[in-house]
Amino acid sequence: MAEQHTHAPESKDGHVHAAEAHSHGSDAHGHGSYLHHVRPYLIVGVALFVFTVVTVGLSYVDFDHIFGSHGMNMKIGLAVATFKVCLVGAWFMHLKSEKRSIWIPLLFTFFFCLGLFVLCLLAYFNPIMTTGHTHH
Amino acid sequence: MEIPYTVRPRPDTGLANPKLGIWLFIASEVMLFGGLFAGYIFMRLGAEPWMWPHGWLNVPVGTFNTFVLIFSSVTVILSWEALKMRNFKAYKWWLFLTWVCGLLFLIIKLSYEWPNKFNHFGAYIKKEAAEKYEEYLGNEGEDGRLARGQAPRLFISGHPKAWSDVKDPSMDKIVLAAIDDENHTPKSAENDRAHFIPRDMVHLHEGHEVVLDKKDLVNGFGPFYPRLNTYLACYFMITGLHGLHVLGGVIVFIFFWGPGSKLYKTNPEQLCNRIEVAGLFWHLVDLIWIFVFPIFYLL
Amino acid sequence: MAHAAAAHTEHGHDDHAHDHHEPGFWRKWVFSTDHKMIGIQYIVTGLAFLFFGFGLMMVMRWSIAHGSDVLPGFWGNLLHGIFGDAVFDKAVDPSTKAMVGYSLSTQGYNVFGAMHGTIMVFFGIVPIAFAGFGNFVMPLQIGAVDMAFPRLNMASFWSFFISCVIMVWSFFVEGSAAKSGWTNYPPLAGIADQSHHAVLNGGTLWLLGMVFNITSSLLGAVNFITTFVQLRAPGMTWGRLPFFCWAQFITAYLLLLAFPPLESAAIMNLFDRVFGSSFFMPTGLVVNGAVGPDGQPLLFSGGGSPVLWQHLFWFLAHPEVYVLILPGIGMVTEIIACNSRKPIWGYKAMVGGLFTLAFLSFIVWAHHMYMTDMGPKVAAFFQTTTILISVPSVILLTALLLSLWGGSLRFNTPMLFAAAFLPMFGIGGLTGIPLAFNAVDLYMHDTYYIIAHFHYVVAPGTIFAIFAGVYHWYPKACGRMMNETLGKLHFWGSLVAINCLFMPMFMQGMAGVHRRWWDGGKSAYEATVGPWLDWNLKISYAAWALGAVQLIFVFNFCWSMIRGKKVTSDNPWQATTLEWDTPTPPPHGNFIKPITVYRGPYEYSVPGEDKDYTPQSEPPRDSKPLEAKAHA
Repeated sequence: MAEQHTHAPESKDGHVHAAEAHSHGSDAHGHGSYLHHVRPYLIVGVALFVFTVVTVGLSYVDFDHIFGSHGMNMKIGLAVATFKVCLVGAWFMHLKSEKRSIWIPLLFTFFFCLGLFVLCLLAYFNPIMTTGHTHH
Repeated sequence: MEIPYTVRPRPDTGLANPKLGIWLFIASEVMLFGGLFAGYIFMRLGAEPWMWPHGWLNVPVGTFNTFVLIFSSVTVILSWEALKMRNFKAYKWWLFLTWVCGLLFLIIKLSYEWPNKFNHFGAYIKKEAAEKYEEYLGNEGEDGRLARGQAPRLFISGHPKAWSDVKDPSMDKIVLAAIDDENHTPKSAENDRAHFIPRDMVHLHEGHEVVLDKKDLVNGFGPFYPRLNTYLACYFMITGLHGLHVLGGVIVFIFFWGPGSKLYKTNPEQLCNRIEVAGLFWHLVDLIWIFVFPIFYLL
Repeated sequence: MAHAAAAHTEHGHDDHAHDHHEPGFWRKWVFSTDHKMIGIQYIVTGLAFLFFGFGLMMVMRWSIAHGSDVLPGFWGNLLHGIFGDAVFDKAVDPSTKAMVGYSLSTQGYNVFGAMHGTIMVFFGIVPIAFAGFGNFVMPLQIGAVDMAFPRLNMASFWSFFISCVIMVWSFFVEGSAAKSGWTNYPPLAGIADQSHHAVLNGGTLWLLGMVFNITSSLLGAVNFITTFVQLRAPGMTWGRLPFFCWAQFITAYLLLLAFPPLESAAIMNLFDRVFGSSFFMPTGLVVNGAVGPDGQPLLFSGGGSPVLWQHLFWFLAHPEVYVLILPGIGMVTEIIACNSRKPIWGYKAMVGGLFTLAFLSFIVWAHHMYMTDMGPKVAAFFQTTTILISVPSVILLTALLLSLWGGSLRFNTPMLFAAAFLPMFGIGGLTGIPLAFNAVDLYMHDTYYIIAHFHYVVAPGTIFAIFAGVYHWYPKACGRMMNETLGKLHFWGSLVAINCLFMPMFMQGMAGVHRRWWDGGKSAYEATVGPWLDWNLKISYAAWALGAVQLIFVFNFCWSMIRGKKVTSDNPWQATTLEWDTPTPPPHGNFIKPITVYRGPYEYSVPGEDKDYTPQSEPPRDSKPLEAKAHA
């Protein structure tokens, strides 16, 4: 995230307008109608409601049986949840129009988080790791 | 002395301090819950299929709570937009709705969902004693679970006649006065996929007295506390920590709805930033719940 | 819309209360929001813990050298008076039945060992090197008035303070403090102390203390990064930042992203201990030949994974190694540049090395876990990343070494410590390379070789850097210099003693001396490692000598505050970075004139200049006056 801002004081003017546009407090917003501004949020909100219903509904279908593969319900359920999370992130948290200096560290965070999951899983599926649980 | 860029963004980075701060905090929260979910994955993969319960939580209630939280996520955005338009009255109303929803979520969690687990009793039967309780487990026979290629069920749950039997080490028997659906009709097709049956935990089959010998039970028997099994441990820990975040958010919103809103008179821009930052945190809480809901209630 | 008018009147400036009045005693010295005071609070608390943790080790060294022999009378009585029966056994003469003194019990050895590690890492070095020096120096070096969130900064210190209180308190509860090692591995960590009070026992308090400590570090990390990114003075571009600031920035990122998984693991372990869950408790656990302590069944369901704790713990604790070392490297860089009167060699490569190091440090953690039932695929992955991470480390060390080349070195006390840091850290780093390989590690693991390896990194490594930092920035904080003669005595004494302490451990470790023998192996392992056990006593003498030498430092630190030579200039070392542009000591708000940066951090001995250092805030001679450039 560091390299693109090498000339801090010099680039001040170049960036100042972009910054204005993103600071939502300015009076530019006073002109549009309230409904116009919040419409995307309402749409996303409704989509989240719909997908909540979808995810509950899907859980009643036995996908393991349909696809003949283990853990399909888990995969489908998590895919829907991930989609919902992306909606929240992109619109509610404004990540779709956020600065690079916000989302580049976030990408690293997700990468490390994924690393934690994947490497733990790798360790789990490594042969020596799979010890059987004895039932008392 | 004045800290620069607390309200207006710094020109070259395009960010104000609080916004960068909250995003960094969110990043650490992602890692925190990442660690917890890594724990969940480990526990779930490590468990025998019959050890990992399904359908212990009330799906309609959970779904309702999900709606409540998503709704509050929308209202906090509406409140912030109202503040941006300098519509103080609308701001107050939307923020009010937000914290009321947060509170409602907590009330449902603490007054119904959690306590409901504590007056329930569950016990794993040792494999060698399973035959004794076959009537309630439904593993053997042509229409039994094993014959249908399913993992054996070794779990009996219900309500004990007297809780003192459970706690008293000198008592060697526990009498269940009522048992749950899946032990009542263990071989019914409905109970085959325990996994997707939303079961009302309070609804028990009364009058089915089952005598459990303590020496037949795996030692972790008892109420649905974290000690009973790892699923419940994960459930209480993750929803508990999530609940603490909800509580934190509710306190912050009540503050900005009440005394904190005075800032509007002197510096509405700063109040607007604060609501944005608090809102970002609130969306994170919502976002975590979006994962928590399916992995505990549905899958 | 009634308030619309208000909206238009207020935009530009923050509504800070412009309180210029002098803060009272409590606000100034205790509940301060000034980054310098918080930094000093961290450093003083951290130094106290550093010496406390070292004291624990000196007692352990007695046990290692002399087994269960009684401690010398005075020390035995003193230590037993402080720590009580849980840690010290009363020794009775078998013939006369008379009391002869106190000796460290085996359980007490475990307590001291666990707490030595915990205190040194989480309560000594991180608070000093990261939180302390970072707080004091970093905002000054980037030309900021304070940290971005001063009140959060105070909250972070007080959260740390609560964790300190909990950790110290835990020595005095029934059964004494945690005894499962600083890594707190379950299932031992899940069952130790369970026969005592349900919450107020060593193991549980350790976890509670860690939760507060981690929270403090997280708040601090958020604050550091925001300050670093947002509060740089005009002209302080990314390329002009002193290397110390980069090191702090990267360290803060490591803490921010690596600490939370340990926090979640600590919460899980708390659940295990307090609510009886089984996150880390495997099925069929047998303890002391029975199912549980006292032959009772262990009251948990089982099905957990002890290896999960290790994953989550080392996910933090490997980046933590870099949390320990990077601020040290940062300080050493500043001091070497200043005292060799020469720019740092390879500034960009060093910053690049930092980023690479930080990135890789997140995916090497399981090299601490070769001893678990980890399979060869995972081991191969972690061996590869571990070997890769040595490349940026070597870049950093090489760049510092080359920075000395051709410089006109000033061997004052900070420089001596900084220069000694290089070979010491080099030894520590290079001896780590064999350990990266699974096959070697299986043999070396849990021997004194490991102890020597990581102590070379953190003790003569980071702690020397900390001493260098204290001697270097002391005049800025106190307005007086520390005594040079005492400083040199402290340095040479420490250097000799610390090498006598750790160098033989490499040999002991390679011979197979295990790191956890409370009596140094005398009782059971004489036959296998016999000749090497003679070293135990010699090493212990070195440890005690090292402790004695530190008294010089303590005296110098306190005495110089009152009697030290007063500084005659705000820039006694003739350094270039911004912290020396402030009055001494810097007031609240730091700079008395608006500060603008015109040049890189290490403009020493620039040809054509009239002096051998050019401060960052000095405008170029041939350019327009200061104001014109500042607002361009």
